[in-house]
Amino acid sequence: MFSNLQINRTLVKNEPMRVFKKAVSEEAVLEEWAEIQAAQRDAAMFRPLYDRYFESIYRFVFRRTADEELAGDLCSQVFLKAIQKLDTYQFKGVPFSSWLFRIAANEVAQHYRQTQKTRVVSTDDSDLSDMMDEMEENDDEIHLSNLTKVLDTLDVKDLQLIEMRFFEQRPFKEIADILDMTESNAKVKTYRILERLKTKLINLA
Amino acid sequence: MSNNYNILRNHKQPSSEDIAKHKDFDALLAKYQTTAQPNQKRQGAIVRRLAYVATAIAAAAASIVLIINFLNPQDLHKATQEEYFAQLPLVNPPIEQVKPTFTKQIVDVNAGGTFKTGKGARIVVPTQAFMNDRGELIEGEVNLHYRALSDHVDFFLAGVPMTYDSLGKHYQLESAGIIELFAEQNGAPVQIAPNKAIEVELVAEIYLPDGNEAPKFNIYKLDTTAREWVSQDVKNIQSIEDIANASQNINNNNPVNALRSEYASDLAAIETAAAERLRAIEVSVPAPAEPIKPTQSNSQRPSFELKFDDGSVIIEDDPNTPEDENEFLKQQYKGTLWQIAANTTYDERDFQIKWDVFHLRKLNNRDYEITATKGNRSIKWIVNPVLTGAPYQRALAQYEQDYAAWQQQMNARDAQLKEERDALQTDIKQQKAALRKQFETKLASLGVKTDDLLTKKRVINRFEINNLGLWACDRIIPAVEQQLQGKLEDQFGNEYEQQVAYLVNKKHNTIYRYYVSKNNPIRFDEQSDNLLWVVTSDNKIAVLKPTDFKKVASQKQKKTVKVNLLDQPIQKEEDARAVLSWQ
Repeated sequence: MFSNLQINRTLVKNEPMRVFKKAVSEEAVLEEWAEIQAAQRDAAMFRPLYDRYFESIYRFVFRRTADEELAGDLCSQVFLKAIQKLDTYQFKGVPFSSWLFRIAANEVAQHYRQTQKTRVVSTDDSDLSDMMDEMEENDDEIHLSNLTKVLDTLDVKDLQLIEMRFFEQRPFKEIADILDMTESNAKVKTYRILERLKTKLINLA
Repeated sequence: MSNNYNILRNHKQPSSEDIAKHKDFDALLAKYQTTAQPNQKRQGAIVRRLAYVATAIAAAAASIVLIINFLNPQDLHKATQEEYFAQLPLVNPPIEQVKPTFTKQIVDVNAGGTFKTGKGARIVVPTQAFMNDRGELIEGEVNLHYRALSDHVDFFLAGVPMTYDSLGKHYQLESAGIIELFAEQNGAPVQIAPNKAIEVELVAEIYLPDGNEAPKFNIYKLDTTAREWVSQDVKNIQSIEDIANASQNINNNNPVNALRSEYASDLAAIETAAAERLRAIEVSVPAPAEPIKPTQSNSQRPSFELKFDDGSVIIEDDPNTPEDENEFLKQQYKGTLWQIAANTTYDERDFQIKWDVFHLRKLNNRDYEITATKGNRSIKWIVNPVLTGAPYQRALAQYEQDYAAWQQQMNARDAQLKEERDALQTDIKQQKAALRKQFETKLASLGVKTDDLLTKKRVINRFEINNLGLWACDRIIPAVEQQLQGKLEDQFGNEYEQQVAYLVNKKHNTIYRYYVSKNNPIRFDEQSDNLLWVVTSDNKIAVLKPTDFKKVASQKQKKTVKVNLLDQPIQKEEDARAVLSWQ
């Protein structure tokens, strides 16, 4: 018998869904999610999250302001906004800390927009040396000094990537989470910036 | 080179101690509360409620002062019920280690499933029901966590609020069941996908006075931001069943029982007769068959044709099939596309097989079951007849004509039957009213009110939810007015002031929470059995059972209300159930 079935349509397969990599253990994420949910119900329950992240957020802000009082004020603002926006927080496969750092980065940027002051960038010589190693350049004082000069030419978005990667030693995954981009995009962009910096360094020499 | 940035090399970083000086969560929380917008009413509810008592500007200023005072323990006695509970977590389990637990169910998103809870609730999860927060459908397995709450012990242990505010008034909610659900995949929360819904069936037991109409429950969702239950525009199908051998007679009086039995039997007889008369009315003018709307084929689902002219298709269980079957089939299904129904799984490779025979079985107006057989192997698909292109357009136009005609016929039929239906309703109502009056009179002669006679009923509500969270099947009930006079005190002389007391009455499946202080009397329904308790800091319960409650409530001008402090702390749900039973 000839096939009785005559296929008129074929299945359009759904693309496989993206599976997020876990930045922390599932257990820790679940535990933290429970805390976030509790805080979403009741702001007073935000305390453990505040206690856990206050210092790292403060340091993040201080490195960009170099002013303890200002860092304290901005930090308060970061957490105030976090509580206010907590109901809208949805876990995007990234740790809660990345969400806080994103708010902090926005607060710092807003502060500099409003005050028209010069943005502070904190770095250690060892961080600059690491960068020079990455670019396969000498890390003597002259080169380090030149590096700060070429860093000064970067636009603020590029500078943020360098800052997080080399001055704060953050993994690309976390940088991507904070800046809301893919991990590979963060990597590609960072190495392109390094290439540009290297060219500028050579020209400067 | 210009200085775009102030690049600081080796700038001294603050120590952890330095940083800790800037840390002040309480100040942050107070700031949050004072700046909270109306739609950010988690802790801000205190501000919102206090604002009722003064003008806008004065209230704003006063609120800040009152909040500061209110947080001061010495001033707690001044707090109203609303102020006190507004500063607590919205869902506030009184005994942390005895919270009703969540059941975790692993759901294969391609299969969905039906899951039951220990409380008789049921959850039906369709396939492809979940999405992540970017709106992408989730593949693989999802962990669904749920818990159902059905009675006063559950509501108490879960710490769910049971009040409802509307237009500045506070009401109490009676519940026919509450369910809380959340889902996650690898720890990341997921939500219900658009156009998908989880079906929920909640079961609860309520007490109804004899002969009373079953109350109608509605669907509410807990808005954790606004800190209130919000009525949902969700349809629910409700049914109420008698619970065999569960009738409770407070007086346990035989003549009363006999009367109740007689009344129930007479009532059932009226209803049976009414149903029969209604059926007779309906069949006196037969209803025309509703035309079936054609379905357009969906390019996302596989579809195929069946050849009816070679005898390889057999139609089963269709009494309408005429003797000349092949001819009928040709006419009926010629050119029909059969589309694999949504939720039906299939293997594409099966479409390449030359099957020997197909059995077609009509399941309903839309679904057919096809069994394809080759040798010893057979598979089943659920399919829908669909049309495409011009045949679909023609069929749709025909359907619209047929439907309009059908509606006209139905309207004419309804008009023809209306008078008889209305007359029947009036007659039944009168019969029931007469029977009720007779029953009440007989009861009165025995010194009993109908409100005292409660029958336990099982209420089942079925509805669909399109997002996760806390859902309830509730109804607003009248406030209780009677005040309980006197201080709460246990047998050891411990007074229970400035703490939460819980009260339930047998008439309503709810729990009343009172912040006990001079300004906040405990209120109760004197027409019902009442159960009152408080929880001590070491998780013991001091309770006033219904019989004792009745005695205490009847005493005038009493100074203390003696509650019985139990020896053992509550360590598990069973402990609470034993203590908080009606016996």
